Amino acid sequence: MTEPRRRFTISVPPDVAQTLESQGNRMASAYVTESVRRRKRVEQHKELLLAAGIHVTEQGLAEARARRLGVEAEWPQERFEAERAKIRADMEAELSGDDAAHRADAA
Amino acid sequence: MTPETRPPVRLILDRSALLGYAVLRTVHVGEPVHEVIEDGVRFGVPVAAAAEALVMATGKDLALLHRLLALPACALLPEREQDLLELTYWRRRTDRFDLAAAAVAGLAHAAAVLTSEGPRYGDGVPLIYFPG
Repeated sequence: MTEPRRRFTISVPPDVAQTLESQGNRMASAYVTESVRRRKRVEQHKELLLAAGIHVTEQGLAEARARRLGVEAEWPQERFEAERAKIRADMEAELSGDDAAHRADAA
Repeated sequence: MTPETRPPVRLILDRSALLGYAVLRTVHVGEPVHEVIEDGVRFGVPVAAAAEALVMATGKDLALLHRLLALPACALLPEREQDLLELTYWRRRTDRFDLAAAAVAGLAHAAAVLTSEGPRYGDGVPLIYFPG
């Protein structure tokens, strides 16, 4: 379903204009929409953190981001797929009556 | 008009992470959640983990947990038919269905699981530990 749209005329500095122009006419609206929604999501969560009394710091956020990106570097998509394929193969072997797969898993 | 695509899930919260946020109110969960939101992606919560945490939280903690789950950056992840075998494997391995759902969600979305219950998962799924 298409969301209702409103047209705006806005003024932006040259660097922002350049970015929007590089998106093309139709994608510029999507770019602005995503940027606004992203900022809104951050603001909403800041309010929730404040209500919870959880005080995040820039250093803590950077460390959390580094941990996540470190894990993502260690786990490329192929590794996820290999883990899932191994589990499915083991389970299918077990369900087909191959007890060796179950014993190996339990060991 | 190009159909809107939702941001990918890049971090999974299990029951311990949900309770770490809503009950312990620890920055060790608040910061990983916030940085994911800052990066324009989403965190995922298996429905089974959400249900377990909602049962365990009370009063203001319960209200906070409900608000966390209602954030646009939160993807509630139902169990899927095609994951039956993997759910069975992880249920056997972790001895808990909510942990099994978190492990499968991590593997399905290629995302790490934020948890204080790392030893229960063992290896086979990427984990980010926090002190519980």
